[in-house]
Amino acid sequence: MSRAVTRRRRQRALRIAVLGVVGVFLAYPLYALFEFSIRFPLTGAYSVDAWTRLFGAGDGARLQPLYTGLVNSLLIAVLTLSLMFALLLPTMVWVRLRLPRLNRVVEFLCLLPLTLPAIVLVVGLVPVYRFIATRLLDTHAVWLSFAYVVLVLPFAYRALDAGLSAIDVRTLVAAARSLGASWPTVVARVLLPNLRGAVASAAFISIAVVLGEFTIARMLARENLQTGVMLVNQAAPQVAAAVSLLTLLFGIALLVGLSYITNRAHRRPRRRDS
Amino acid sequence: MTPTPGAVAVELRALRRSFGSVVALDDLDLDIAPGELVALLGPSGCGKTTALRVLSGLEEADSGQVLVGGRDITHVPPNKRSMAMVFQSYSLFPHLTAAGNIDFALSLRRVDRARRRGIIDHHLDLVGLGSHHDRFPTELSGGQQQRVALARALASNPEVLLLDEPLSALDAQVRVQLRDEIRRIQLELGTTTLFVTHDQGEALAMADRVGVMRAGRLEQISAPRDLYERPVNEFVAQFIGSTNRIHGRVSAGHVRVLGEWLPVLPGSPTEGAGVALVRPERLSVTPAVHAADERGFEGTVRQVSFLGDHARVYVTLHDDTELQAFVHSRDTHGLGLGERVLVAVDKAPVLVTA
Repeated sequence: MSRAVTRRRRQRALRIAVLGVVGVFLAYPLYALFEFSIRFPLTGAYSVDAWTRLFGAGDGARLQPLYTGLVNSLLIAVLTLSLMFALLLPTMVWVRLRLPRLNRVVEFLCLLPLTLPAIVLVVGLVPVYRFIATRLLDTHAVWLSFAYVVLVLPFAYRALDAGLSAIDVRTLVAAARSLGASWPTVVARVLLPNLRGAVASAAFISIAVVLGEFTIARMLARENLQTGVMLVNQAAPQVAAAVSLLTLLFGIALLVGLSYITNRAHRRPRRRDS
Repeated sequence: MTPTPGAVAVELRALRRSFGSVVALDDLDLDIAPGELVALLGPSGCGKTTALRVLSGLEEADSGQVLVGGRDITHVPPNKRSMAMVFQSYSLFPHLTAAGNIDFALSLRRVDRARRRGIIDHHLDLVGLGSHHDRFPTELSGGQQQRVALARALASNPEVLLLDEPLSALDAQVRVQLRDEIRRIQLELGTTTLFVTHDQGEALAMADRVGVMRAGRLEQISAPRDLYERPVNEFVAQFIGSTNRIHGRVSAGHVRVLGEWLPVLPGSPTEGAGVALVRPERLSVTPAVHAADERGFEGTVRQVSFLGDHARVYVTLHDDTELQAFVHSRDTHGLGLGERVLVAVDKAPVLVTA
């Protein structure tokens, strides 16, 4: 057996070992959560009672905060994504086309929320939400999306920026316009199809952030999935564990989906030499 | 040139466009006849691409007028202008195949779905890519991508075709081939075309007329041969091709250069000392040994650059004037480094500068 083959085998073994360790490190908490949801803490007896209560109809009243929180979080996610894309995508395209000197400024503003802890944001958001609740709208949790748009900006910006950098936006827009395309057509038929991966990345990461957000919702006394999990945890901790596990698995599924879409986008044939 | 039926004229009237303190177009006037191919040539930053983009509507002029077929379209958005553009960088939509790209253009012009397939086939055949319908841009070479871009532009049946240095990203061989193809197709379809390039070879080879721009203004616009042989000023003479600067004396519409009286072109001084701008191919260089009885000024060969079918011979005259001449390759015997030679000049008209 040649030395090259031996080296390749060693490298493969090392790769598997590293992946194994990382896999265990990430998967063990999920397993622990799952075990907690099926093993009664006092007796140690195993039961799927928490899962049947979660999906059954018998325990509706006690689990109501959870259902309300889930529905609210999904509504918030939809509104957050709509607002974020409506705000960010045209801005980023416009800045690239017409105001490239402002690119750094937009980047700085979008990444700023990363540097602010949620608790600090809440301090600033309390009077804003008081105004929203009393003067503009109401206290419904769905209006948390205004704050969440700010929270997801850094992640969405990064994803869209990578997508826009991968295509020649100026030329594609100019080509489409000169062929007779209106601005909505340019966005719908030229930009979005070429930014599919980036838009999916931005959407998935934003959904993951929205579904996992707790601090702002709790401090502003709004109900979302995470506050619902916390409330249910006080009365039915095993059900709360089951919900947390499902939320995490949903997040993982989103990220795997994201990785799949991104890989497909990158798997285009290579350019031939001219 | 016979006007092509259905082709439109283009008029740019006193166009001005500034970017901050930089004036890109300075009262630019340009007329393009129906079916004509005009090339704009000039150094970087002279405003040629800005002129093209203003005509396309992608850039707005600060003042002035754009007229196509007599209609004022100065403030018409680009998507309503019935023009199509081929760009320097590859502009095919990456998510669409070659046929898909052309179909995109046809759908925007509201061409009936049933007719589209035929038009796509015809235009891909026209650019020699009849078998590449289903190829994505990443599966095509640079030259093929530009061909598809040209097919896409032409398929939309534009009133005006705009070419923004479409060949500059290609290698030399493909460039020459595609250059000839574009001209063939343009002549076949008779579409009024504005072509922007920094490559004078391309401009001279393809265009009906070539405009030379400097600092946002058109210095001269003429047929390629006129532009080359009858430049109106020193900038044009120096920018197009090569020139020798030879001191001489002007008198009665002629200039005395290398012992000959040459007629001067309009724009030259009428009397007194001046510098004649003489093209290298207007000079002949012969070995002094074999030309004892021939006319010419004596000099010494300083350098010879072999360029295939001809050679560029650099000669220093006895008064230290440096000259360059084009000599057919077969006539370069005896023109070695340091050889004594005789330089003579044709009696063609020349431009003289003060």
